[in-house]
Amino acid sequence: MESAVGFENLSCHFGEIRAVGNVSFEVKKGEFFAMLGPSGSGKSTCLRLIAGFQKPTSGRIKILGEDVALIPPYRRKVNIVFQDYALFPHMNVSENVAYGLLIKGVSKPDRVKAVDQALDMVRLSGYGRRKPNQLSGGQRQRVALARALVNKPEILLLDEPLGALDLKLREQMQEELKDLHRELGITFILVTHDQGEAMSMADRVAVFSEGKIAQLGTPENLYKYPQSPFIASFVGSSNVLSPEFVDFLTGRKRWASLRSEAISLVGATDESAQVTGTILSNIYLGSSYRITVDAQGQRLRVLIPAGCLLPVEGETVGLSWSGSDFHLMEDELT
Amino acid sequence: MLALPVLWLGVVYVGSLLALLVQSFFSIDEFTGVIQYEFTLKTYLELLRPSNLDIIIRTVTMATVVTVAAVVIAFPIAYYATRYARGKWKAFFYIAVMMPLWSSYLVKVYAWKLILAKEGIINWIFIKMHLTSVLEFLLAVPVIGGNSLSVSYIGTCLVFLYVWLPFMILPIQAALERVPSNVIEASYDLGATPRQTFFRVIFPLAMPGVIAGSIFTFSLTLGDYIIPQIVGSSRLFLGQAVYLHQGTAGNIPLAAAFSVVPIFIMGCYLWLAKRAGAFDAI
Repeated sequence: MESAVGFENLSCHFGEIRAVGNVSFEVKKGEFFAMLGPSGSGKSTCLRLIAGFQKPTSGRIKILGEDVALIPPYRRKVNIVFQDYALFPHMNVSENVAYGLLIKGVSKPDRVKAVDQALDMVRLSGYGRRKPNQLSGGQRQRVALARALVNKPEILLLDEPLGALDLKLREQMQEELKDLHRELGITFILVTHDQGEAMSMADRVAVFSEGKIAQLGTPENLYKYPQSPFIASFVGSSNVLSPEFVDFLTGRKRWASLRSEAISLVGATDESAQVTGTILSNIYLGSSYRITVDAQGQRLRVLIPAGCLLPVEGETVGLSWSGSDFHLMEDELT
Repeated sequence: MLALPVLWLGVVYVGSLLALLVQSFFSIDEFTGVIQYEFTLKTYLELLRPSNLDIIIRTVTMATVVTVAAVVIAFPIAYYATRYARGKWKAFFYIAVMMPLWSSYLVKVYAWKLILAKEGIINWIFIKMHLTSVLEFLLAVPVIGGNSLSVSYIGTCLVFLYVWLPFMILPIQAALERVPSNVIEASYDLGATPRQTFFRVIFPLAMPGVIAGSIFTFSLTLGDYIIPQIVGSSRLFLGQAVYLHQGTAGNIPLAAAFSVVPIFIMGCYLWLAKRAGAFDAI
């Protein structure tokens, strides 16, 4: 498959601070790619590097196979949706959306048609004459999206696009973005610190930590086979098992992960029990209970469906799981 | 707590202004020089006499030229300070802009009179650079020229420009500071070159600052009566007319009518600016 964006040994420093350190990865054409990580992990810098707002200290960036080192932001075939939308406050919605076309010299009738189409696509027809400050957060978000998409970019960059929206709107917009991606078939690159957002929307996720990619893979891959305790704790709700505990279970001193829902509770003396532990708490989550167990000094979270027989606090139980769910990690990272 | 400052604004500021406005509707008895406290538009008619109209046109033209020149000079300075100056340089910029305001205005104007005089440094520089003919050509231009820079409208304009420049730089700089950097990046991202970005995004967003600055330079020029008296030809400006009518001549109604002129002009100016969309970004 062709590559949309490629990073080759890319580093970016701000004075003494290293924002991105020797990162290499490739985003495939048409892919929904997410860069996930806590704040300050370098993911936003990577996006700004693609857009051209930041210059790399060393290494190369290729967009659609072309080295973009000398190409200024206004000549790159990418468009970005900013975190706080960055709409032009002195222009109305139509003028905002038409801006890119106006700059390109598209004729007025064509501009009007394209703007109407774009506003239609984000379900904001009829809002053309409003000013950005007369719109809600979700509407501004859509205008920013239309303003980028009207230029028919090959690559759309999204910088925490849903960060400022409330939970309900965020979930709705996630689905809309996903639909848009399917509809348009162009490359989406999303930056987010919300693992749920990255995992639910992206085809592949790069998890950033301290300016490097800690792991890159499909959401399922990251979830099931985290390569480090950091990934395991950052992505999803896996239990990170300490080397001491793993040593006790398997005789090998390595980090391991075990998903909460892969563990089942059995009687303390049951044959299938790999280990016994004491119930510390149980919390009702609606469709399930989250139970915290202390086994040999290791805290384990266990998810059991509501309606099962609940153990009480202080009770000793046996814990059981299938060997394939027990995932030994590569060398420890943190 | 707030009542006192608001009262100050209401009574001392607006109240005195209204008192002034009322005065302009009285008239003066031309024989006795006594003010007649009867409502009349006679004083305003007097304002439209050719000699008085001349003063108004002269002052408004000067204020317009000074304001436009101030925008042209102040914008790049403010732009530089906002976009490029950091830390110590920014502090230096503020001090450099404000410092002329800390010294006496009279001293500066007299200093300028010397600088612009025939024996002054500007003339000397032109001689040393063998450009005397350029200066002579400038001074030979009718109306704005004169015997030397210090008695020409060019000189008056230069001094106004010097004295009011900080009042233009600071509001523009404040407006530019408020332009979010991601809006500029968004413009680049949408394909606009730095030049297009400047004219389509940065300048329109800085417009409220330009308007605020121009209100200062425009109204300060309209009202000033010292600079045209020290530097320039002896022809009157609005401020001087007000000064003369209420001082020596004792014609308070005409002085009041004269001082209503800048208020009226500024009102029209703001109305036009609003209609042109200068405040849309606020």
